[in-house]
Amino acid sequence: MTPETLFGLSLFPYLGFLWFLTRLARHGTADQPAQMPRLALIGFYMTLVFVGVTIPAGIYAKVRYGEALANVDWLHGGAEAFLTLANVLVVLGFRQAIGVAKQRETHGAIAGEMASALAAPEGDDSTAPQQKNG
Amino acid sequence: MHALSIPTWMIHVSSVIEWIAAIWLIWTYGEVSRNPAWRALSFGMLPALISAMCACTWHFFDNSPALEWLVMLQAATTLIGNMTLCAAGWWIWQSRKDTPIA
Repeated sequence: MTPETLFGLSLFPYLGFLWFLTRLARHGTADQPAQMPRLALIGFYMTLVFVGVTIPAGIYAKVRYGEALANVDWLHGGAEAFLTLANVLVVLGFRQAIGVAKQRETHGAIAGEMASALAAPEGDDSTAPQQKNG
Repeated sequence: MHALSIPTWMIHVSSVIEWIAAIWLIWTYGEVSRNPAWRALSFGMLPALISAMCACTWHFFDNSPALEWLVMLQAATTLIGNMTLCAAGWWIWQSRKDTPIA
C-alpha cells in the first residue's frame, strides 16, 4: 500500500461526489431553483483538473530533476495554484448562493402571498417548466 | 520550511483558508436554504482538511523522508475524505424532496 495507491483509489468516491452534486445542480424548477450553486460545482470539478495537472507535473519532476513534485518548487506551486483556484470558485459559488437564498427569504414571502391570493395550487405543473429527472 | 518558496507557501495557505471558508459557507447555506442536509457536507469536508494539514506539516519540515508517514496519512485521509464527500452528496440528494419551497 503506497500513498499513490490511496490517492488513485480516492478518485472513485470523488467522482461519485461530483455525480450527486451535478444532479443537484440540474434538478431545478421555476418555483425552486437548483440546490447546488453552479459556480461551486465548477469549483469542485476544477479540483479534478488540479489532480490531473499533478500527474504530468509529477512525472516531469521525476524525469527532468529526479525529484518528487514537492521538491521542485515552481512545478509544485504551479500545480497547487489549480487547487487554490478550484477552492476560490467553491467559496464564491456558495457565497453567491447564500445571497440569493437570503433574497428569496426576503421577497419570497411577498411572492408567496400573491400566489395564495391567485389561488395557484402548490406545484402546479401546468405552468411550471418540465422538471428533468437527473 | 525552506523546501517551499514564499509564493508556494502562500498558495498552500490560501487553499487551506479557502477550504475552511467553504466549510463555513456551506453550513450557512444549509441554514438560509432551510436544508440541514448541507451540514453533512461541512462535516464531510473535515477529513480533507486533516489531509491538507498533513501535507503542509510535511512541507514545513522540508519534505523530510523521516516524516514520509505524513504523506501516507495525507493519502489515507484523502481517501476517507472523498468517501465522506460522496456520502454527503448522496445525503443532500436524498434530502432534496424534503426542502420546503421558499
